[in-house]
Amino acid sequence: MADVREAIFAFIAARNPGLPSGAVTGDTSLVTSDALDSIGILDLMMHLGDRFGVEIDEDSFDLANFASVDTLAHFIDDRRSDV
Amino acid sequence: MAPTLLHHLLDGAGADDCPAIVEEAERLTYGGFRARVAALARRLRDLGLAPGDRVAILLPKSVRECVAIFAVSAAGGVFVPIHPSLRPRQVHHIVADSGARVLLTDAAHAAGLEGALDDCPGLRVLAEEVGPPEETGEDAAALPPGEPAPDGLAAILYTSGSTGLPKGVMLSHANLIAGTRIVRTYLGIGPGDRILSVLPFSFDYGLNQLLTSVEQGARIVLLTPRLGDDVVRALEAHRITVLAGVPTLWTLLTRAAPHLAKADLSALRTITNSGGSLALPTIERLRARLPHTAIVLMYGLTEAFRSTYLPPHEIDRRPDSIGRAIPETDIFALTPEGRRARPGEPGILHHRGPTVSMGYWKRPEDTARVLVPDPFPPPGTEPGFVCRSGDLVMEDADGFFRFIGREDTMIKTQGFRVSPTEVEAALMETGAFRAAAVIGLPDPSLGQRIHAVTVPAEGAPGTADVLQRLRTALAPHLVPRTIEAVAALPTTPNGKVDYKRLTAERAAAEI
Repeated sequence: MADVREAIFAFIAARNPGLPSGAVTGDTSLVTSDALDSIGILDLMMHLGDRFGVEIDEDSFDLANFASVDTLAHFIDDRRSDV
Repeated sequence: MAPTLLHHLLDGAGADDCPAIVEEAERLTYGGFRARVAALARRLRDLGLAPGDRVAILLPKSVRECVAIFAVSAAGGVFVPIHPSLRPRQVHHIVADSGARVLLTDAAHAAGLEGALDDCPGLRVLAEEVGPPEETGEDAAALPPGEPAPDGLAAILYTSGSTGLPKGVMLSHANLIAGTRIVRTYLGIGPGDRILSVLPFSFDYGLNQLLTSVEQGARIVLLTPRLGDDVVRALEAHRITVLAGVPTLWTLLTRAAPHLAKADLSALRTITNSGGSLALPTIERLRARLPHTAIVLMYGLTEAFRSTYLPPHEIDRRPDSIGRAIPETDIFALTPEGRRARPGEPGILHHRGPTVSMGYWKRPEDTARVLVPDPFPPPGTEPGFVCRSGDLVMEDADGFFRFIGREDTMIKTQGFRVSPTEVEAALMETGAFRAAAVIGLPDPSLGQRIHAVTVPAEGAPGTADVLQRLRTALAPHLVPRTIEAVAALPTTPNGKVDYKRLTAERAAAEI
């Protein structure tokens, strides 16, 4: 799961130049923080889908998956284990 | 009496205890709205704001932003809304170009500017909130009348032009009030409506939602969504009746909102699309998910607000149509020879009506290209100006129009108009390229997506490094989605980059 987590951090850092390191942690919410806008989240999911070979469908966008970086990393990691 | 100035809309709006704006847990009544507008207007006057002075507004979608828009008008000023995700460089351009005397912002945005506005002499930055007036007497909400003329300047909205940095489109009070009246009429907005606002107020159609809601004493609910389900939950929780969006929003809702299938959205009577055409599969999915909701497609340019709309009962017959003229407006297509195009013949869309803007701020040459003398002035009227859109369209036998393409190379992505020149300039600044041409390619989610065709410089950094630097320099919607390397750019016989060929080759390769 650590690699998924790092991929999410790297994606957010690339989208937010000037963001101090450590500003986004495993507990940071992707729903209520300004880390990503709506298109940013769509792009992140497509990126994670490609990178980890996970199919991203409509249900992948359940709000609960975005409660924190860690919950999203878990979700992607679980799906990856399915295949 | 009919309102003639923007802030008059608030005078006749809902009763004092009637809800006006909802932002998360905050609810502002019309009484509270009027009081806060009066307080901020007084503060602006105390700062020495003179009639016609520009006030830039850099705030997230919020009650505060709504108050700022009306307060600037009430203080006799001109409001200049700035999209909250713009980077310091673009903010500086808008503040400097408009010659703003005051910037209304918040602490987070002020900190993010990092001195970018230090060279704007005489600019006052107001980052703290101005509270409601103290209860000092019955005249707490009364203001000295500083009435500009109805045809005077009310707002400047910045939008990308074909020559680089964004240009300011000047809107009069009469323009904004006409747009409010026209849209409210054809959408049938009334006091009972609850409108969800997700589009920025720096975008003319997003601003129009606030104005129609206030004009009717309706309720507007403000939301900055991150996920499709954020939108669905807001629609459900607030029993929203009207939702306006751009193509990106419909993609979020139909592709990335699992709750949409389960939600009770029976209150939602109308959704409207503007800022780019909606792909047919998206329309079909929306209709399947929202069988009782009318879909109204619209077309327009900031220079003339909206021009056409497609009534919902026509969508099955002409799903690729941009519709027909909005009320109080004439729309016609002109051939290159300047004659009216016949049905089935392509021509440039022209617009005559009360929403035709005052042109571009301090750019008379650009204005002369887009506001042209009326070729067929209606008999008995003084010849005025019509807006030449630069969009190629075709009229059918029933008077409905179909969009064919841009006459120039402007890209429409995520509801934004993007000038290739501005993105190319940022690409070249990285030093990684010898040449760069930016084009728009069809994209079902974004309308168009930005694609850069480049000739790399020797020993240039990799694409990832370049994208990283572009993200620092440019707002997210301006960053190319893809960067392609070629040996040389094709040129026209005049030596100019052949954008048409670049676009046609790549669009064909994707089909």
